[in-house]
Amino acid sequence: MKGRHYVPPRARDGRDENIHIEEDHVKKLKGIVLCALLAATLVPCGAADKKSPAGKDRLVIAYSFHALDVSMSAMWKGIQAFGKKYEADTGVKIKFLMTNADGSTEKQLSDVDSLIVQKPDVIMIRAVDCDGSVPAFKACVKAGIPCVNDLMGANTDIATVKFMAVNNNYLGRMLAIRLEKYLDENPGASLNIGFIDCDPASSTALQRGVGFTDYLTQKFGTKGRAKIIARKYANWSTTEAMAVTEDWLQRYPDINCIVAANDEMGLGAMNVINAAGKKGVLILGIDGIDAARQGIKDGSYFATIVLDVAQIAKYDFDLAVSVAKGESVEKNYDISSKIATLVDSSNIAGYLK
Amino acid sequence: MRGRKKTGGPMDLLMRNKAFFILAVLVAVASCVSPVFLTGANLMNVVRQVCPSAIIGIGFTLVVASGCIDLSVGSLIALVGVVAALVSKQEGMPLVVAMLAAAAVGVACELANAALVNVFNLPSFIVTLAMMSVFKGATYLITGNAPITRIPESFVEIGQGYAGVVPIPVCVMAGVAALGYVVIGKTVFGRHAVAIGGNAEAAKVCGVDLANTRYGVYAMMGVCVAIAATLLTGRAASAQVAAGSGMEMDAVAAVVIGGTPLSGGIANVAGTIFGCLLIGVINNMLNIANVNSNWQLIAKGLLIILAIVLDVQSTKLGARIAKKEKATEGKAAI
Repeated sequence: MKGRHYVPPRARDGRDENIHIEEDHVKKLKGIVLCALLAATLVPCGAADKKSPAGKDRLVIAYSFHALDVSMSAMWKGIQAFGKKYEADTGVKIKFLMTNADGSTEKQLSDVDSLIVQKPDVIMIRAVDCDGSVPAFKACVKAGIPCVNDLMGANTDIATVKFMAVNNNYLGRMLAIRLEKYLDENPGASLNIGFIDCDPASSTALQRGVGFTDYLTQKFGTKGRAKIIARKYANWSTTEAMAVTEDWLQRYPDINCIVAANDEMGLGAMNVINAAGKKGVLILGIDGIDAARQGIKDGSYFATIVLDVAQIAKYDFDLAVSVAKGESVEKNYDISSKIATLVDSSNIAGYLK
Repeated sequence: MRGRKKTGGPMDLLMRNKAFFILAVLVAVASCVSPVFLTGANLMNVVRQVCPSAIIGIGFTLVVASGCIDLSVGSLIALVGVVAALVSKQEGMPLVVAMLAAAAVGVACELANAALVNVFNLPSFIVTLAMMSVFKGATYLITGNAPITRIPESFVEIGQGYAGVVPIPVCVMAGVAALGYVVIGKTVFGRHAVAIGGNAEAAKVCGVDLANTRYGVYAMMGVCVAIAATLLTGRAASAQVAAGSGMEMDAVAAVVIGGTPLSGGIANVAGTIFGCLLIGVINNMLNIANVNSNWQLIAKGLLIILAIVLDVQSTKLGARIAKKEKATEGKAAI
């Protein structure tokens, strides 16, 4: 028994009780060390495979994700599925390496360092930041490993290929164009718009707001029929977007349009508008998640942009394989106009599951 | 800088360098997990990656040893990095001026933290938590939420260059560690700071100026922040608005693992360095073992807890053994 003031009796066999307590501590320490070693052996054995030079029968494809949100997770699953299909069709084994920078530039630089030492055949880098992630590409070039400027449009041309499928500026513009169409169809209407932006550190995703604002300003000026009266970050969060919308309803009673950089925030706005019973407020977002599509069907959500994640995954994987095999590919490969579709009440029927 | 008397022997060596031995065990485990771990390139990556957090950890060691805490370091790194980048981009501006500007901002902000703690007698936890938000907002205001890019090549060289075969950040870290060891352990100021952490009232009665010592502690933290921010900005070739985010948590973990208790009174600079390396090895091991990134967060937390539990249990064992030896010596003397 342990305790500060308890004086243990001498054990019957004559041994000092203190020795028993020390032995307990030593046993506990040994147990902890053994548990640690056991836990380490249970780590998934990407490393258990002996590294062998990739020949024709094996390709090692590495991905450095900037973050793993809903759409990126779906894309990753799609890529892995295409990998399995490729193995089955061609007999070439595909080994994937994947890291997630979770929105941190520093982590992405460290992630890419970790990928480089494992000597993959290609590294697909989805940049956290257009400029901050550039050293990751330089590290790949220095190590002699082909790299792809994948999806996020980092400001560098040293990658083997620049693959654009999600042009954030273009997505923002699509939403602005839809509002322009609304105003054309309703000549007497005007829009007081609140824009819910993503997170101030995501310079690539901030382009959604830039594309939206630039187009509206170009078409209507700053005091025209469509004007942005409020703008705030909600860090991709539904809860934060709800708080922002509640504040706006108090501060701007004439607000009649809320545009969000993604549907999760748009849904937060929708929840608040529905709870307040306010009619005639247009809510728009990006990603085309199920709840947004349902909202369009119900009439409480105005429009969203659906990204064909499966198509992106297919193009992405095919490109990764081509670069990994050393095939000749175009330096700039842009499919952004092919995979984004604006969905509203006119075409929602084809997008409901 | 430890409170106990040196008694010598292998057990005492183990107790005084727990973080090192825990790190050694983890390195052994990591090398079993992946054959890539023990390659020169990977080990150099690990050391280079922990440089900014190790430098922050050195300043943090003194802050914690003095009985305070600083949760604003993450946000302050971003602010200082932005200032350094903006100053360096001015035409004809020597790089050293930009670095001095960074140091000035870092020290000034940390002195503001210390002033709030001293003048209003507020807990450092609350003050620095609030100032974290202030520094973050200031960064966003100055930058307009866009990173500062196209910084001079000489600046980038600090974060990405080499001195021979050793990355420059590693050389900087070694220098800061040596200086930190001397300042914290061998100067009157350092001893006063640790004494305040041990027992502030007793230190005051002994003539230690609590307020000025705290200013000095936080000023030193400001210098460490400036150096870390410079390295991070150079490494990313840009000043990111979210640079350093979450670094205060890694710093706390490294300091505690390294043997500096959160209650203060003891400072172990070498332990902090090994604590930073430990966290770096954990991150690296999980990456090269291709552990799912969501599981990585859980695994990292659990491994840190395991390291701290090992540390606490071994400290208790060491105390028991020391007590037993003392009792034995006492009986022998009789």
